[in-house]
Amino acid sequence: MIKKIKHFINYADLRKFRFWLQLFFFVFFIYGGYLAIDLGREIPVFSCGYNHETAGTCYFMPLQHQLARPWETLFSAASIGVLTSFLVFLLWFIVFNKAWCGYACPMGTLQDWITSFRKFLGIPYSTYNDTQYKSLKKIKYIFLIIVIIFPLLIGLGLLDGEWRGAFCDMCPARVITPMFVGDFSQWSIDFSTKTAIFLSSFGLIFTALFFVGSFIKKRFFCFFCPMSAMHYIFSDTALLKLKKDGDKCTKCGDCYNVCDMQIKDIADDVQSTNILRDDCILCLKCVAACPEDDALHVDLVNYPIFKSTKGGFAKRMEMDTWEKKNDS
Amino acid sequence: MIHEHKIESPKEKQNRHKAMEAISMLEKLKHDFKEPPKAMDYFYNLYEDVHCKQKPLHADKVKVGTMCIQVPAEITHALDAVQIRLCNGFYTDDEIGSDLLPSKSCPLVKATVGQFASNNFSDKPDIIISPTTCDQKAKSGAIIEDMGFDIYDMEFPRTKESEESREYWRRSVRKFTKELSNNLGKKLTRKKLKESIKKIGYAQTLYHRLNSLRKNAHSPLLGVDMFLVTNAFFFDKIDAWIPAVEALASECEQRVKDGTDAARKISPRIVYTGSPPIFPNLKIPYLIEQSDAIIVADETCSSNRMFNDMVSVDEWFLYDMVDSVADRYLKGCTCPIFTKNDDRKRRIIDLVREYKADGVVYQAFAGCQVYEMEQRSVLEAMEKEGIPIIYLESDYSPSHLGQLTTRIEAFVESLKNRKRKAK
Amino acid sequence: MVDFIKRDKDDIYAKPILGFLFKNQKFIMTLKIVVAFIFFYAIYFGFTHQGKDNTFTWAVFWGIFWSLFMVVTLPTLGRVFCGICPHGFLGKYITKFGLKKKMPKWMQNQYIGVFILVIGWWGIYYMFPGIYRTPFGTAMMFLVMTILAFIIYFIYRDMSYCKYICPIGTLTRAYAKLSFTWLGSYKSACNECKTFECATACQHNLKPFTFDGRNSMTDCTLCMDCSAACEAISFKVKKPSFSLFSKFQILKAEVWTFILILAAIPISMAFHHGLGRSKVASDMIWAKTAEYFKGFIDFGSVDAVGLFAFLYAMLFTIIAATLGMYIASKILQKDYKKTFYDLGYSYAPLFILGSIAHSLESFFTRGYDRIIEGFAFGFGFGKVDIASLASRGDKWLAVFGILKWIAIIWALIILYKRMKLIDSTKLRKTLAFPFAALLVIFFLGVNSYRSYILDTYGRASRGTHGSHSSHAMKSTDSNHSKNINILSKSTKPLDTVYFSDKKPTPVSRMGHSGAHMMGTRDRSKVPSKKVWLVTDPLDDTKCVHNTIGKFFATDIDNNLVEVKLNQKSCTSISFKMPKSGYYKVYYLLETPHSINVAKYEYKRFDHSAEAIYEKEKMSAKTIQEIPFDILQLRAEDETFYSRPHSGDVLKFKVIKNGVAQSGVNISLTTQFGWQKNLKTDANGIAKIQLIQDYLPKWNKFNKRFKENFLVVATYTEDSKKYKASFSGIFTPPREAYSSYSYGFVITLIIIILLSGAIYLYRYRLQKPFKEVHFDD
Repeated sequence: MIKKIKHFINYADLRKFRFWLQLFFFVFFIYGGYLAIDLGREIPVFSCGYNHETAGTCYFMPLQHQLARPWETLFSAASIGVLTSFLVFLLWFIVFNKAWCGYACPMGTLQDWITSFRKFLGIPYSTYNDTQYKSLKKIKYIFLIIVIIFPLLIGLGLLDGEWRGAFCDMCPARVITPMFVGDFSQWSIDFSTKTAIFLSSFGLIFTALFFVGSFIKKRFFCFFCPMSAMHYIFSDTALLKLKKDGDKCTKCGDCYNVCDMQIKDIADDVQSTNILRDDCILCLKCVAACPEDDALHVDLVNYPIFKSTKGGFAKRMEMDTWEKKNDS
Repeated sequence: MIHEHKIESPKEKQNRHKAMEAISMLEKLKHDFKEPPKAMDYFYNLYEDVHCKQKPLHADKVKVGTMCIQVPAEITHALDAVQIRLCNGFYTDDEIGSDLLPSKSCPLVKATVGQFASNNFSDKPDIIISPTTCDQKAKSGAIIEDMGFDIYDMEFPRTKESEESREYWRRSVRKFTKELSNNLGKKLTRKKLKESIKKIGYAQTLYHRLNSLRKNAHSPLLGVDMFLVTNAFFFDKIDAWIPAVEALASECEQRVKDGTDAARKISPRIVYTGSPPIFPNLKIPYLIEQSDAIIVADETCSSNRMFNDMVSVDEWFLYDMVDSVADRYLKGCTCPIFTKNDDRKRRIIDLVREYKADGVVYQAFAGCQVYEMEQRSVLEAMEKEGIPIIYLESDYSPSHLGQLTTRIEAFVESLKNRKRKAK
Repeated sequence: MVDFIKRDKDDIYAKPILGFLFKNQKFIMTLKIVVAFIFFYAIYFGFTHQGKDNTFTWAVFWGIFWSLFMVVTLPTLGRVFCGICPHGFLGKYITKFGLKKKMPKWMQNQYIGVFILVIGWWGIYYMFPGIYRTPFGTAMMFLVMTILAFIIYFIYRDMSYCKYICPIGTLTRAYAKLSFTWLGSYKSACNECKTFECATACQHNLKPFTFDGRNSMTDCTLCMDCSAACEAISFKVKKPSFSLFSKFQILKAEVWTFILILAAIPISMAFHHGLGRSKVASDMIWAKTAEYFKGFIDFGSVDAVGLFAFLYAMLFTIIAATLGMYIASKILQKDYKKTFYDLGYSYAPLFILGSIAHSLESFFTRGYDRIIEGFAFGFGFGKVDIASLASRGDKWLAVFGILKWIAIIWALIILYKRMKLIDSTKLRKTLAFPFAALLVIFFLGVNSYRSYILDTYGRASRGTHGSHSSHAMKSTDSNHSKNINILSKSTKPLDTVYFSDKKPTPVSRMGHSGAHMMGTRDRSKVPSKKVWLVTDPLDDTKCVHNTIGKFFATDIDNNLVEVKLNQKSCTSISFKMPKSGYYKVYYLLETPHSINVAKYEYKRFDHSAEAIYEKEKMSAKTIQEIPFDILQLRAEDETFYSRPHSGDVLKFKVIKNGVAQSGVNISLTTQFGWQKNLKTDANGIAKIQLIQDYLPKWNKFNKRFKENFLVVATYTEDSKKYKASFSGIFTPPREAYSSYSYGFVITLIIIILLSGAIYLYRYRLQKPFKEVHFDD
């Protein structure tokens, strides 16, 4: 029986599964408010709080507000609040690890849809070359610094309170997600202060970048996402893990070819067992695209729940059957 | 009976010699072992047709000859051409080639060049693709060009770890695709390439299906037969090869169910690695299995390396498909021509574990420098893992078999002892 | 022995300045001599100048050595304090000419030093606060310790005093494990060594060449004698506390040092000095225990509360440590003792980092100036007056608060790493982790509890504990003395009075402005709001005092609640707002011929989103006690997040004795003087659209500007006059400062530019490779 279930999972069509799950989470997070769902404010994806119908708010919004408190409050009683929020965030995160990105994040899903649209138009995608890749991937850490350090500086009195939600103001999710509930009010430049002009313009520039970028590059924004960087810091503690058996790997590069995030280690690193890298969105396309038995597998608390198999690969790539055509 | 005496032309003489070589090997394979699967008859007949009767298989198609396995078959097939691998195993051709190449060259290269020199093909290639893999093959491309053949040099990097090499090779494949398409006057389309990738992918899946049966404690198929099957992929019609292997796989599956063993229970299980055994030069595999061992897996470019790595594509556009196809031929390749080759050692160790093998036979052609040079490091790696390994050097000549036989028999005997002790 | 070695990059000896500091024997010797001189001079000075004017002795012992230098260097550079300690320095020479006896077994016990420190020093400290702090006490104590040390050095060999008797010997040994330095040796050289100069040079009888292998520097005091004897000795920079991440030989006394010191210093301090200074200090268990025992025993000059605080701290800490570890050991299915000592090393950072924070803070606020002044006094420069580097309450000092959190996280990391060394299943380890961390959690809990108590109940006014200087100025509202310049007046029955949440007439404020109601609120407290009853124009409000009217307040369910009324000179009223919802405050002045009502409504929301969209709960209601009331009706789509903006239409309904009243005169006045008058319609409703009259220069524009408005309803019926006021705020609308067209244009331009750029880039890619460019 267990064998049958395992066979079913390992031979499953991941794409369909993922599509429906992503659709579900997209609707859930964007429209959940209409059903009075509220998962709190510690959700580890860009389920933006500017969308008033969200079913749970991106953790960065409360985090920035919490950290922006004056230091004497922050490091005394208020730290309990910060800590509990953080623990809730961690609890959400620990179970699914970065699968939040690949399956639940509305912004990620949106990018996947834009990618599908491009595919429909028949336009090929672009990739970064090695040098671009290495230099650009640092940007998400810069954003993470903005998320964490800027509020702290406000609390210290070194920075104006206007910068409290600096990242949120620049984040395309603020502009885009409310659109889905008919709220276009974020598509504007705030002329109230110089800082506001700067930040809201940036927000729109990043929104434009988001649309063009994700049209031309798969999961364009995830590459710069500070939430992804934040996830990575705690990914070692997570229960769900992406693992690799280097002995079984032939470095054929199939996983790398399908990787939306261009992670080379997935194919080239045969030493690490934990192959999750900071850019990874745990979409598991690599596992589905691996033609070696057991070379890549997803473990939940060390129990493999989804493994790469020769048969599963052949089925997914439609290489398990072949009809002879009488054309020759 | 009166025989009409006719003066034999050199070509006829060659063909007679080659047919003799072929048929003697085929007869040995057919009769020296336990009964082979019925479906093997297709392959025995195929070799007889091609090598003894000189029967052309692809008369109506454009034939693209390749000097090495790195030429993407997916692309050739997508352009409605047939890909024929020209690596040659005939001693007859080897001797012809000896006159053209230095005496210490690799017999495989000599035989290949020899065949061109004699210009004696049942399916003569219209264009020859020569990937710049090892020195001998790269240089022999130029020699063949001097003989008046149409040669396309396909640049191949000799390191594979770096990002540059990946990009270099992808560009090389893209360029090859474009040039071949221009040369043949055919346009590569998404649909055709996708179909072709799937067809080759299916062939690979079949190979894996058959191969994984050899993991059983009772392997239903001898190593030599497997080599015949994979060798046939060099030149056979894919559309014929696929049903033949399907039949063979089904029969072998039945054999596994019945518990039919191609060898004996005590027979040591061998992983074969090194220079490729190409029909009719199945000398070493034959000797091994004659000595009551069985080859359960191999790491050679005439078999495993040709089929192992499959292509996956995310978006079925030409860019994506061509690049994915390119990666398969570089990154997964364990050919010793690369500067360093930890992947090959890992692969052998993994094969030993996966196929529960008792030992490894490392065979190198005398003159195949890269395999000879890599021998030491592989031996060391195996020693570290506690895997028994024997290194053999051989060529295409039918003589000097005695010494090889003794060494192989001794190795097999020692493996048997180990096996007994382990019990 | 080797004369030359190729040093690794992380070797401090190979670094330019640090290498000199740690390797140059002449420099080290000079330093030791100077330190020894200051040490003995300070003792001498303590005897000659016993008065309070002797700041020098204090500066040397309590200002520099303990605790500043020690706690700062221990978790960073390691035991460098021991390296320059005058006892060790002179002890080496004394031992050389001493009797060189072997120390008896019973004295070879690290607990001796630990107990001298914990009981003899800290226990006494809590019982007799201030006894060691006089110059004479200090000098006496150090003299006694010095004589004791020298005697032991003379009798016994191998510097046994440092190892077993010295009160801070085991402590430094234990906490130095956190440091990022490591004295080791180069294996390549040591493998061939047959002479062992490093070991023979060591007065402590240690073997430096084995440190790396043992993963422990044992009793090494970083005196650097070995590094002078052989070049193969290295002094490397490593990851902080790296040795705790792998196995080494456990010393039980070290684990107990961590626990006892934690109990004796931070926990006891939190009890006695933190909680003990709150307004509820007398409710604490130790205070009560002391009170109870005072009935039986005469404590004399002993500070009983301090003593019991210390004892309870000990008790709780030890229970937390042992109980947690016991449960953890059961879960892990391991021997309790082994688990306890193996994992107990994770407690190391808890005390020391908090101490650094405290020491540095003291240094900046009062240590620095006192040290300078003390040295000036000690060396005959007379009295100098130096300003301190920071004053208490300076905001940036909160930076040091972060260290406590680092300590907790660090402890958890060490625990995690040490947990890895234990052979058990992952599940068990995960389950055992929180129990093994019980002491860490306890530490966290005590700290949180302390700040909770101090924030909720406040600090007691000074007097009970004299040693601390004045606290930061915190409260601003309750200062009566500042009310002198507030103009206040009494009113006639029908004067317009209304509520304002701004204090009438500006008073200089410290800290944050009251406008940030949400941001600065302390989460642990129930939020409250204070409003003043005022009169006169909106931009120049005046207090009302000695009013005879009645006050009512309602909670979110429209029930009457008690309010705190403050009638002193300025009438103000405070009410608590435990939940999200609408709170109302009424003022009612009733005479036979008039009714005058002032109303204030406050919408409190937090992000917890409870009951946000319940229309029934949100709707405007009146109460029967009020005969004449203005209700602000909610907008159609109103949520707790909504706020009125300029341009919005506000609807007011007037209720007289429970029924809607038509024909009431309504006037709405804004802060900038705009006024609108109209009468209520048949349903008693008046609709008024708010004007935008906040029009500053664009760069002065504040989108959160709260403009006040005041609605006054007047009505006369049977010569009885009715009057009601309702005050509120509104803010500029989004349209006033945000532009969709610009936003759209910017986005569009960037989309077009980018698309073009990508198209061109792709087009260009089809061209052949470009040649590399050399910058010649």
